[in-house]
Amino acid sequence: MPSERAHNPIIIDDELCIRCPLCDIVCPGDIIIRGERAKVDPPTVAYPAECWYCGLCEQSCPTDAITIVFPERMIRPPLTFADLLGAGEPAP
Amino acid sequence: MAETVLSGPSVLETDVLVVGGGVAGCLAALAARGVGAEVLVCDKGGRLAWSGSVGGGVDQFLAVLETDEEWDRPAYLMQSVGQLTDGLVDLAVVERMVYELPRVFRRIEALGVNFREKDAEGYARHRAFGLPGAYHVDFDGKKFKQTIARAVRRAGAKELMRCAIVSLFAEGGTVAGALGLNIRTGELYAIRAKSVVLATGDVNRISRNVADMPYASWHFPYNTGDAQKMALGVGAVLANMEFIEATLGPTGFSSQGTNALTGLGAHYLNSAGERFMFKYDPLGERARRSVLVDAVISETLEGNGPIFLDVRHLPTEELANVERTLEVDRHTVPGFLRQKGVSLAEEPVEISISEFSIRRSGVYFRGSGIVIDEAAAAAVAGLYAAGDCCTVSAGIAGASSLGWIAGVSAAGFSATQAAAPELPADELAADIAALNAHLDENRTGSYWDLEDAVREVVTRDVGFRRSAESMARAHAVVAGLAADEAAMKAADAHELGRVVEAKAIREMAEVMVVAAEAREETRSGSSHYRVDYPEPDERWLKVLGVRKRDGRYERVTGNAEGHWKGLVDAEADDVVAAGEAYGAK
Ligand SMILES: Cc1cc2nc3c(=O)[nH]c(=O)nc-3n(C[C@H](O)[C@H](O)[C@H](O)COP(=O)(O)OP(=O)(O)OC[C@H]3O[C@@H](n4cnc5c(N)ncnc54)[C@H](O)[C@@H]3O)c2cc1C
Ligand code: SF4
Ligand code: SF4
Repeated sequence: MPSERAHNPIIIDDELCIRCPLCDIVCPGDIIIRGERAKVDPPTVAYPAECWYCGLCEQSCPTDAITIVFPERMIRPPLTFADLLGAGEPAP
Repeated sequence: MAETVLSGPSVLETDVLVVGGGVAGCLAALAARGVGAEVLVCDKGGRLAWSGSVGGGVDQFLAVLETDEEWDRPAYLMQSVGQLTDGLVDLAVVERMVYELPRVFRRIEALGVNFREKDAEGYARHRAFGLPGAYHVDFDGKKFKQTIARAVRRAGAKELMRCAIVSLFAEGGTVAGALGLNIRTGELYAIRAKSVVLATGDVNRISRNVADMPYASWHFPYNTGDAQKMALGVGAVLANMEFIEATLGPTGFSSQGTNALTGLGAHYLNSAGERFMFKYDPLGERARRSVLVDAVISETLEGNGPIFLDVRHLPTEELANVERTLEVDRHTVPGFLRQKGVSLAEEPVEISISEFSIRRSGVYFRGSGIVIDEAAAAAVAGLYAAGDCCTVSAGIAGASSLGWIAGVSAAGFSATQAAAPELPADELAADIAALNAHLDENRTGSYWDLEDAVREVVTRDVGFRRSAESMARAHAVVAGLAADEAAMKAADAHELGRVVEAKAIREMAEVMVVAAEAREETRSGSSHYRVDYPEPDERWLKVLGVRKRDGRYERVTGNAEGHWKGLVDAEADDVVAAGEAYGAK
């Protein structure tokens, strides 16, 4: 995976987290993984680059411990609209 | 190390196996349980309640309610389907789906979904997607998926979660079952089934977006065409695969957001600040979404970009609600705009096109994927498909209706079978060995690299603008990448799941090129825009299918309005080498 995509979008406040682990359960993409010891270890964001940014984890967290932070490349994208259009012609 | 990742396979047996527990899969499970069949649902997600495209909620449902309104009947709606789709659907299948809609709506209501307007008796309905009446019901669908998932559980269907189906087996023209992989634990399941319903949704992660973040996509990134690939492998035909679909979103975040703003009456402005939509459609901003997308592309190609969406003229009370409206479609959009420092009430927001997917080509009912008949049956006996992976698609309503039909058909077929067939032992062993091989520490390839290579060439050469020349190059690259598949390395079960997805994405890209090269015309705007054939051509008012025989692709065309399942046996137009064999040409 290109390293610049490894931004972690799911910030978990360790003080607030009660290790329930709803965020693991609701995530449709297997991105967040509960800690090994139930009720003790916090969840980890195991595959940050594969997040859909759906917000289900953030919405489901009973203690509002999760904040979603968008990566710089979504705020200021590296490609332009024109880059996506394709020319239908061979590239120069 | 590698040896310990996978375990099993445990052998399971069921009457009906449902592959993918999204909207279509849940309704199929309910229907099959309803007539007493044993049902097993497998899904990649952690719980059915939140899995799939709409785990986070929905807000509209295409309903035919048979009220006193003339338009509110299946027959009336059917009158415009041919024109809406250019006839590029199997009308018999759409008809079956549409006639089931009133009943499916009531059934879902009975499950506990409240479609009624807040604090009111009636339904809030509006016109959308160019349909000839106000069919769409606006409702608070935040818990839609949770409600139908609960019903599936109550009905007694078994669930196998975090289970990706990675192989499908058929023997002697009848489906036999599937191989499942738990993407968390590595447990394998050899599932013997009397019938199988495929419901894994659309094909995503096949092209780039401006953030170049393939998972931060408009549609559900974990739907990767797995069922389409597996169906192709057992003899099914995939049709309409040349068509693509994209949307418009705030630049940087491919998301649903702008639909809601457009609905409220937002204006589209070009870089000169002009409202340009009326140049492209007399309805202006009220035109169909696919028309808006095309107009924004054309305006940008003419050098008038970037394009902005402006809501500042809306009444103050509506402006106050704008954020909430955005949130309905995609919970995280308001947060994105906040982080970007954009305030919709104060300034226009720049928008951009999303990545494209293979789904419905922006045209209601005209699905892309597995060819089915009126019973939702696919190529081999006992195999069914529904939802966005099949050739008739109409959002959650279409998925519900055809899902139900598929479930009834599958249970009916299972009832005629004495026992679930044995899985072909050689094939099963070979598929498990192939999975294990990716866990070998000596592999060096990456699923990211393979997918990125596919996306790069697909975006540039088979995207919104295509030509014979650009596609010839893309075809060689995408087919040639098949040679790199075996080298992909997975460190754990999760990554192994992604490796399987990457293979599906690559093959769907190849099928897309094979189809798009043959359709020498432009149809439905940017869904299939050939710069070398920029006009629609009446001779192409026909369906184009791709099937796989003896490891090669065969293109088949047929009368668009005929019964598409005939494409399974119809004479091929021509044959195209597949994968490495083509790439090496
Ligand atoms: C955010 C969003 C909002 C939407 N809002 C609306 C709306 O308001 N109204 C509307 O009509 N339509 C809406 N749509 C479109 C609608 O979601 C789809 O048309 C519909 O969900 C299709 O149903 P499906 O069952 O085919 O796919 P899905 O509901 O996506 O289900 C597919 C399931 O298959 C699973 N899966 C995939 N591959 C495998 C595999 N190999 N093994 C096991 N499981 C697998 C996935 O995890 C997923 O759960 C929306 C889509 C999105 C993304
Ligand atoms: S949902 Fe919230 S409280 Fe529960 S484990 Fe996740 S972060 Fe912690
Ligand atoms: S935003 Fe969605 S995809 Fe990302 S970690 Fe949360 S639940 Fe999973």
